[in-house]
Amino acid sequence: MNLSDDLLLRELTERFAASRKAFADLTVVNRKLLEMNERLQLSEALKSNFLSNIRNEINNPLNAIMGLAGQLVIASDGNDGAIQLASLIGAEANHLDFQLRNIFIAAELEAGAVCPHCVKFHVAALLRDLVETFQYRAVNKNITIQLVLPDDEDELIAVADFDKIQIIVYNLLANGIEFSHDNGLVTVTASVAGDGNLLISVEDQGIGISPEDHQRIFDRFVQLETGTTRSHLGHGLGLSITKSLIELIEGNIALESTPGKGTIVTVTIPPCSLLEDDDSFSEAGNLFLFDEMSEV
Amino acid sequence: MSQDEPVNKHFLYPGTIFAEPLPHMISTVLGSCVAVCFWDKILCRGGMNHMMLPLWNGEGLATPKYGNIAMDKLLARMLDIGCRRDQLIAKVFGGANVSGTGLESFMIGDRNITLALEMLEKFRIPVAARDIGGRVGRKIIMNSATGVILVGKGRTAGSAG
Repeated sequence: MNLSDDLLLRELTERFAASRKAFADLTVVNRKLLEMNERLQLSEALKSNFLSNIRNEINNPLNAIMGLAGQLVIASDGNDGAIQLASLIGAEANHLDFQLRNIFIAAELEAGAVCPHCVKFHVAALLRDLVETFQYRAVNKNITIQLVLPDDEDELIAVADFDKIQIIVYNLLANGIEFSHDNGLVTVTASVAGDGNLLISVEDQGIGISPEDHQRIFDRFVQLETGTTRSHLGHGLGLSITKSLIELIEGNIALESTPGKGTIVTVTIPPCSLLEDDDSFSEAGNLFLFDEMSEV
Repeated sequence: MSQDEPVNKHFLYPGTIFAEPLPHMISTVLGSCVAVCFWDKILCRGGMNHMMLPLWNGEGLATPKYGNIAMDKLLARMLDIGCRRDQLIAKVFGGANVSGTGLESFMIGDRNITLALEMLEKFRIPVAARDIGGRVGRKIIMNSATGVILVGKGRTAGSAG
């Protein structure tokens, strides 16, 4: 192909113009992406602020409902119908309270404001309380909740983060019951391993999770079944909160599941090395020695 | 250490953030994690984050365990307690290669450092001091009222965050 200088020049000019235009287009797209990203970050921030603002607005009336439902049970003085209704109000309010705690702890985790807080407590008592809380929901689906504890329950006196473990087990139990078939069995097992780690597992005989979804279920707002026709309740935050809390207390979560057969979730929680002391510098994380400190 | 050291103490756990108006001694222990300390030189208030991984991948909770989240949230928190962005200075610590392997995918320390320094450049906050990289863990203690930070270095590689 023979091109005259003129033609060559024109060809080149056109190509340069095209590439300049492509570059300009890309710049525009890039700027739009940046704007979009800023807006996303802004909406995340708005969400966090909103949550911390509404916290008291929601918690105060809810606490009143829970307290008054309790008093109503006592004041009903043997009227079975009224007692049943008041207990129902109490149970539903308790459930709502827990879902709110879940949402607020997610907001606190995202704000980086959640710290481990260790106390000495009886794991068996904690688990009994939690199982009791779920009895009412389990009865609706005719599910039996079985608690398997070691013969000597005093083995289960642990120094660990009570609040976090309560939220973790609550979420696991809620999932176990939600995804069980009617007339199923949910088993909660607690034991202390040889290395001092606390093991708590929740086993159900429900729908199970296929292996390719094992990682995805820990993402926030993920529910394997989506859309308006989904048959399971919840906000899709439970397992992402559970995972973040377990990471915070340096524990581990393991999932064994066969679709159609059921799921076993086991959490391993290491013992805290010290009891929380207001005045201590909490040097528990100090795993190595420091020769000298220098000033910067 | 001086006599007028603040009485309030806070141990910063990995993946958390701390910045309060009252003076605090904020301490943390770092391996491959990176801590960025902000200090407002006019208001004399400081804060610290402790990132474990560089980038949030959009899965799980957007906690300050991830560098990009931790930097944004700490800056926002500093502004919340009354600091001004143009009065802030930063000090960066940690990011050691404690496992001793040279594999790129495991160089979390280096990647944390890069992320932290890049974000500081984006924020236009000057880095007043740094003690980063290397093979050993560090312990840092920050006086949030004076901005002075004590750094201790481990003798051997540690396993802390």
